[in-house]
Amino acid sequence: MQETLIQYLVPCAAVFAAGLAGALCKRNVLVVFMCIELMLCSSLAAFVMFSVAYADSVGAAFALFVFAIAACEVAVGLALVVQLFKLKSTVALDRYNSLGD
Amino acid sequence: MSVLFCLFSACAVCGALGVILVKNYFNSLMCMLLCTLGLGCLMIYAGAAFAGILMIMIYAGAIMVLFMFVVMLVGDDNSNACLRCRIKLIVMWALMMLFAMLLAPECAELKASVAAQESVAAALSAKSCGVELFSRFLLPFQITGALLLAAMVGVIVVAQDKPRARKYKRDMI
Repeated sequence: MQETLIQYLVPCAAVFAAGLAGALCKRNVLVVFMCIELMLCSSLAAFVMFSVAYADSVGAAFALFVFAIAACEVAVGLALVVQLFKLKSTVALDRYNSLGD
Repeated sequence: MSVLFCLFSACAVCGALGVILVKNYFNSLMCMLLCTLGLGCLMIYAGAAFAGILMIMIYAGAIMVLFMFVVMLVGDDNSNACLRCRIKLIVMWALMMLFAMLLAPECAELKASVAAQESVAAALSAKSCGVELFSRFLLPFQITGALLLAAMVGVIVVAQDKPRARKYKRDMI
C-alpha cells in the first residue's frame, strides 16, 4: 500500500455519499436501487482497504459475505421492481402511492 | 499519490456522480459499471487482488447483467440509438485505446509494487480467505448459503404470475 489508509478511504466515502444522495433524491426506482448498490459497494471497498492496511484477512473474508448479500439483494430487489412495473407500467417512484391494485 | 491511484479514484467518483446526474437510466447503469470497475481496480492497486477481481467479476459481471436485463425489460422512452451516438462511441473507444497505451508503463510499475508487498498479499490471498471462511466464519458461511437458497426460491415466488391467487382474492371480496 503506497498511499495512506485515509487516501484510500476518500474515494470510498465519496462514492457512499453520492449513493446516499441519489437514494434520497432520485425519483426512479431503478436508479434508487443502483444508488443502494453503490453504497454497499463502497462499504465493501472500505472493508477491503482496512483489511489491507492491517494486513489481516478478516476484512477480505467479510467482503465475501457482503458479495453474497449483494447478490441476494439484487436478485430479490429486481424481481420486486419487475412486479411493480407489471402492476403500474412505470418505474417512477411518485406513481407508487398506493399499496392495493 | 501515483497516476494510477488518481485515475482509479477518479473513475470511481465520476461513475458514482454519473449515476445520480445522468437522466437516461441506461447511461446511469453504464456509470455504475465505471464506478464498480474503478473501485475494483483500486482494491487491486491497494494489494487485495483476490477481493478486487471478485468485485469486478460479481459487480461488473453478474449484478450488471441482472440490472441490464431489467433495464431492457422496462425500456426507456428517451433513449436514441442514432448514428451520431455510434460515431461518438467509436471516437470514445479510440481515445480509450490511446489512453491504455499511454498507461502501459504505469501498469508495469503496478505489477512491481504489488509483488513487493508480500505480507499483505499473503494475508489477502484466496487461500487465507478460504481458511478464514472455513475455520472462524464457518457458521456464518453456512447461514449465507442458506440465505442464497432462500433468496433464489424467493425470487422465483415473487417473479411468477399468480393468477390463481388473485382470482381467489377477488372471489373472497
